[in-house]
Amino acid sequence: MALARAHPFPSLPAEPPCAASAAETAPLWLALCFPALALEALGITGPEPVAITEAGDGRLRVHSASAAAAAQGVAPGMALSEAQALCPGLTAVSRDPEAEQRVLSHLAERCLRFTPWISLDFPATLQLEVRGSLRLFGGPARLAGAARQVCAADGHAVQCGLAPTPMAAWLLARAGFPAPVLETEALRSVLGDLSIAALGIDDKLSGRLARAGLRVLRDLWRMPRDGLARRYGSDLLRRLDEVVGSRPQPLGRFHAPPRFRAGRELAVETEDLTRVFPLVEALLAEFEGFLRSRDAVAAGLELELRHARAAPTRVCLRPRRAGRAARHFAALLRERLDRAALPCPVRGVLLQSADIQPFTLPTADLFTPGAAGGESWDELLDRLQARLGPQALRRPMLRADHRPERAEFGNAPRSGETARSPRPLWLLSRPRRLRDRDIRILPECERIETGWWDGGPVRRDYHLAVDGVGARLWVYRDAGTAGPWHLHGLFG
Amino acid sequence: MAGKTETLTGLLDRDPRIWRGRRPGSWRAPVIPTGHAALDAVLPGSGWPAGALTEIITPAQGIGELRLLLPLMRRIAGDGRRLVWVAPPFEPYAPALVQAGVEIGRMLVVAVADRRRDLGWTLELLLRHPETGLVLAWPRTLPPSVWRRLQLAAAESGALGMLFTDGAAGGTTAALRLSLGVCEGGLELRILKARGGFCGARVPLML
Repeated sequence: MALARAHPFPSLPAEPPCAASAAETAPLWLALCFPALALEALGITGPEPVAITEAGDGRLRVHSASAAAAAQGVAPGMALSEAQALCPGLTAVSRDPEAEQRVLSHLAERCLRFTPWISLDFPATLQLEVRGSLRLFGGPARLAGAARQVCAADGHAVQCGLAPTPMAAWLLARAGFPAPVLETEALRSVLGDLSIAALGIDDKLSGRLARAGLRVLRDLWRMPRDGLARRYGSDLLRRLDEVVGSRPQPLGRFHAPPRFRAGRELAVETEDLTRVFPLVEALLAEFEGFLRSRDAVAAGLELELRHARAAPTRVCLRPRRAGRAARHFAALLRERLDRAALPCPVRGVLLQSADIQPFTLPTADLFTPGAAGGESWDELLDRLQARLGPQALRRPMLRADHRPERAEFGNAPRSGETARSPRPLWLLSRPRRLRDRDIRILPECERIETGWWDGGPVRRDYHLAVDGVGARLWVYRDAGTAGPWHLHGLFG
Repeated sequence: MAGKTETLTGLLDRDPRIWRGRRPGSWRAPVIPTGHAALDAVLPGSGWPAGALTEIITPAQGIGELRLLLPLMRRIAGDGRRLVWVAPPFEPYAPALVQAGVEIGRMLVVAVADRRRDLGWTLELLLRHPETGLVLAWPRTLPPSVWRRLQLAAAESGALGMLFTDGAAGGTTAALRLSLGVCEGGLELRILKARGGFCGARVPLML
C-alpha cells in the first residue's frame, strides 16, 4: 500500500532523465513592443489624422502618427511643419510620457501572470523573462500568443519578439519577426539582415556607417572589432555585443505597487456599530503599520461592510491629503458610518487601500508654530465634510462676471475685478419677489445688462432701498419696466 | 502696614481674573480692537474679547450687523487666520467683501443642514482649531451647555466666536452680549453684558 501511494501512476513510463543543459537555464526574453503606445495612452483611437509631437533639437517633431495620418505620408521623426504640409487636416497633440508610463505599468501588472521578472527599461516595451514559464504555458509560441491576447484585450497594438537576449528580442519585436529564436547561436543569422538604424543609434552615426557601405548588422559583424571601436566609438560595439549576448545587459526589475486588503469576520452578526467599529480600528492600525513599514501614504481607502443577505455597504474615503494616521481615518469613517443606514446586520468588514504613494514630509513654516501634533486644517475640513456632506463646504471666490449671482463661488482663480458701485455683503442665492413690504427706494440706479450670449440674459436696474425695520436692501426690477421689485441682497 | 498694602495691590494686579470696580485699565484679558472708537471706549479692555464668545442680538438681517464687524474681519484675514461663516442666513457676497478690503483667500463657508444635530459640533470643532481666527455663526438658539462648551473651545484656541441670535433664550454665558437696534443714520448698540466691564451703555455708530 505504502508503495502504491508513493508511486500513484505506476503504469506511466518513466520520463527520460532531462539533462539541464545550459540552453535550458539561460534566460529567454519575450519583448512586447507597443508601437502605438503614445496614441493609445492619450486615448486617440479614432479615424482622424493625429500626430503626437515631441520637442527635439528646438523644434517639434512627429513622435508617432495615427493610421490616417500615416496613410498620407506622416512618419515619425518628421518635422511638424513638414507633416502639416503633407496632411492639411492634421491635429497635433503633444506627447504625455507620464500617461505612457502609467499604461505600461498597468500592462506590466497584468503580465505578471506569465513571469515574476518584468522590465520596463526599453521604450514602449515590456521585457518578460520567460524561460521558467515555457513549459507551464505550452511552449514559446503559445506563451507569446497568450501575452499578445492579454495586451490586445485592453485595446493595445502589440508586436512580440522572443530571443535569448533582451536587445535581440526587442529588435525582433520591432522588426515584426514572428518566429521565436531560442538559441544564441541562431541570432546572427536571423538578425543579420536588419538595418543598423534599428539598434537605436543616432542619425549622424548611422549616416556615417551608411557612407562607409555598412547598412545591415551582418556588415558590422564582418568588420574587425578594434577598428569599429576606434572609428565609431565603443557605444556601437556595446550594443552589438548586447544583441548577441556576449555582453550582459542589466535591466531594472518591475515591482507591482503595494496594495493593502484585509478583512475581519464578526463572531455574531450585529447592527450595532459600536461593536463593528473596534474591528475597523484594528484594521486601520494594521493598515498604518503596513504603510509605515513601506514609508508610504494612502490617497484613500475603501471600507466594505458585508451583510449576510444584501449587497455590501461600501464607504469610500478620499481625504484632502494622502495620509496614514489610523486616528484620522477612524474619525472620518466614524462620521460617515454614523450617517450610513445599514440595510441589515453586518457579518464582516473588509478594508482596501486606494492609491499608495511614497511619503513626503510636509514642509513646515518656520515662523508660525501652527498645529504641531494637533489636527491640521485639512484634517478638520475632512471631518466637517464627512459629517456635513460633500456640498457643505465652500470658499468664496471671485469671477469676472457682471451678473451678481455669477460673480462668486466659481472654481476659477481670483481674476475678477470688483465693481465700482456698492455691492451688498449678503446676497440671496435666488432673488425674491418683494410683495407688500414697506420699502423706500432710493433714486440712485445701476443698470446691469449682460449675458445675452450664454443663455442667461440679464437686463436689470438695481436700486438701494430701506425697509421698515431699517435694513438696507439691494433691489432690482427689469430695466425700462414698472414691473415688480425683486430683493437680491442686503447690505448687512 | 504700607508693605502689606503693596502686597495686596500686587496680588490683585497679578491675577487678571480679579475684577475691581471703577478702575480703568484693570481688565487685562486679550482683546482685538473693534475699529470703532466709540465702541472701544465702552468695552472692557477696549476691544472684542479674544478667546471668548460674543452674542449679538439682531432684530433683523441687513441692518448693519456685518458692517460692524468689517474692521475685525479685515484684521483677522490680514493676520492670515481663518475666518469661517457657519450656517449664514444668506450668501456672504465675495465681491462686496473684497470691496470692503477683506482678504477672502482663507475664508470658508460651512452650510449645516441639520442644525439641531450638527451645529454645536461644527462650531466646537472650528473654535477649537488653532488656525481659526473668527467664527461667525447664526444659531437661532443654543442650549446653555453648548454655550459653555463653545466658550471653553474658544478659550483654548484664542479664536473669536460671534454668534448672532434672536435673544429669546435670555442670559447666556457669552463674555459680551450686545443688542443691535436701528437709529437715525446708523446703528445703536446696547451692551447687555460685558465681562470685566459695565453693562447698560448705549453706543450710536454711524456705519
